[in-house]
Amino acid sequence: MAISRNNLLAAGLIAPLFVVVVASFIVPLLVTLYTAIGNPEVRQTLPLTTGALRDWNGEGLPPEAAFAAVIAELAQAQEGQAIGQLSRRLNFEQTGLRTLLLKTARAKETLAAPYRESLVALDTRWGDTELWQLLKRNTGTLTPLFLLRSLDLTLTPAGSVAQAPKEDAVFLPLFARTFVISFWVTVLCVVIGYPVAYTLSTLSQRAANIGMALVLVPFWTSILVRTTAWFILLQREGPVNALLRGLSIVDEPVTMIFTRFAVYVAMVHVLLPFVVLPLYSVMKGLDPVYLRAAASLGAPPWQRFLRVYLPMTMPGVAAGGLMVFMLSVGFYITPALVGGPNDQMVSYFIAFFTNQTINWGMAAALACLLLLMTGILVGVARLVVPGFRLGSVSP
Amino acid sequence: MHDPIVTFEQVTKSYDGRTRVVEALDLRLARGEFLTMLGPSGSGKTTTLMMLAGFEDPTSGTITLEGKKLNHVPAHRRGIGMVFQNYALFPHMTVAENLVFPLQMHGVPKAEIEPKVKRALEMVRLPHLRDRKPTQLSGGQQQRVAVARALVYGPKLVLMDEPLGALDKQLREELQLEIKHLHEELGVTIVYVTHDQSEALTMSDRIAVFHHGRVQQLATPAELYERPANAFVASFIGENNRFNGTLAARDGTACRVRLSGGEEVAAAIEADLAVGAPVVLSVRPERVAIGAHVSADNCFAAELLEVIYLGDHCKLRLRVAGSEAFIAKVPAGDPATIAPRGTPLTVAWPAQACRAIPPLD
Repeated sequence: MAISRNNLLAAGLIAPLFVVVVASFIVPLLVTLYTAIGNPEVRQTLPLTTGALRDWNGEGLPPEAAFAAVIAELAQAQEGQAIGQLSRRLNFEQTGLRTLLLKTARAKETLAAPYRESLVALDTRWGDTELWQLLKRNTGTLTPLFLLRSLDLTLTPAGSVAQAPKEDAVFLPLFARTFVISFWVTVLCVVIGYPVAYTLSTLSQRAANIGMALVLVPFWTSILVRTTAWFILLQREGPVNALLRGLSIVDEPVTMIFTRFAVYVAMVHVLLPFVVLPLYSVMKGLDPVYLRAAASLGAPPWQRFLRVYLPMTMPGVAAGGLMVFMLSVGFYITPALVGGPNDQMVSYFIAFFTNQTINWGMAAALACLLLLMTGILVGVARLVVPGFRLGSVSP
Repeated sequence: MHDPIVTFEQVTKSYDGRTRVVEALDLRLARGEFLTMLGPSGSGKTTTLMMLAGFEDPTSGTITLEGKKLNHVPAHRRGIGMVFQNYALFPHMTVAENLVFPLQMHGVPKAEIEPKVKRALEMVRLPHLRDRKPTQLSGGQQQRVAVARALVYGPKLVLMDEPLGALDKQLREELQLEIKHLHEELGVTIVYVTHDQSEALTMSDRIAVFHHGRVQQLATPAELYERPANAFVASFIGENNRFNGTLAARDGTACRVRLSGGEEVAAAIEADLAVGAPVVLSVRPERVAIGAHVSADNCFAAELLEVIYLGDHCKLRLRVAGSEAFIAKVPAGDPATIAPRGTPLTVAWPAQACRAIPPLD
């Protein structure tokens, strides 16, 4: 009785958190996954056409009923404004389809039976088998197109997978760039953060508190503010260039803003606390007796570091590095503000598809692939990096 | 003692410049001996060990190892093995890797490493655990590995800082004997720190009793027990009954002490004390004879207050010469152990079993 009441109480206490996790994490994740492969536009806007195309075998031209249905439904869609979504969706599939659909919808009154002939007369593209194949393919509930496009692949009208045209093949290099930038940001953060954390861990409590505050104050400052600060500092006429010229290191101002360099500087600065904090806590918890033991066994200082201190602080490196890497992969504001066009990361394109072209399918597909690739990379890191497996180092 | 392996000369250690944790320490260690530093916590024994290991620097004075001055020689160049209280096995290495580490650090050729590791593991009877991680071992196994690790590269001197402190009593006693036997087999010099007097008595060739940063007495276990140099040593090593009194008469090593209640006791004395000086009398409980017809140099009327049963023997708490905490040890079958509380008895002990020693300042 008491146990079940305790269980009930425990369930009640975690219920709000559970609801928050479901509502803010699991549901959006599933919605995003569905958006990446969902294909509702043709089915919803052109239900009769969908029905008429069901029995068409994809050869020659579809039956007259399909031509009649497509004219009627396009006109209806134009009145209901649904034509926008549909034409955007199909235009993404094949450029130029937006104009064709709008033109057809407007021309409803001028068209008469037999619709097959009058439609082809309106625009010869309606007599193209590939256009009808494309329409028929998109009557399905799901489509792999967004995921394929995100991987620089595309679907031929016949439905097979092919390389995307060169001008559209930007996403694999984008993913590569995202992971390369994240990798180097992680490496830089660990290399810079490790000695900082070590120094903090050796200071007296008082000095460590001050040092910690110096690490934490930027951490508590908004990313936007910190990134904007770098924007000002790295400008052509900014303080950094003024200093470099004042010291006669350079004659002409160096271009720093809108470069990869600026992205690295600002991202490392923003993310450094995420590696310092876990490292500091691991180092603080490391019993100095291990280093004494190593010394008594004949290990000089650098061997004590390499063979004992470093491996025993690896969990901190792994935790901090993982956190920095994960956050870097999703970075948006910093590269957008201080980076050039060739320094943008996946998140920039997710925002671009969400806000600019209203192509949520692509945005969702990019997000899903980013999540998947990050998951795979972290999984591989767990197998390769020793610190990940060395979960608990308890003195 | 000529050719000592380690010497401390006037070694003083102070952290704050005022309180001296170790004060003017002079100590010489014989080659191959098992020396225990015994004392309560804060007595300076661990600090002394740390100075020898190279983890603390003496504030003044000189430590030598094999005739060479150790001041400013870093710990890793001293070639002194060490066993720590919490084992300090490297958790990210297997047992075998822990043993390989010191061999690599001392530049032992690759071909010789494996046989040495094997021998060391056999020495502590753990060859089957070589591929385990330390966290997978019991406390006793971990400490055996730690001992093997400290010995594997063949140091002439091994320091042990309360190595058995974290183990339960039975395991502790087992490992005490194991370490003692290893010491005998290998002939290595061991400096052992403990606050457990029975551990010190069991294992040591000599014991240095520390108190307030000074060595109170440096002697063999038997001598320490039988002839404690002062009241601290007498009370720290083994049980004893103590009486405060003044030296009433002295003739060489024999003396008479007058207790505060006026009784006179015949005792042995070695300390350099004059008649009239305050002294402490120490009588070991097992040297006290008890019964109606005992006689010895010192005989006192006693009243039985309590019988404490301890299996193989009993302790009797008695009122003797004004003290209510006088303890006598008797065999379990002694008639006095079944006597009712309040029974009048006679206690007696010879003058040699009763030592007059200087009180603790």
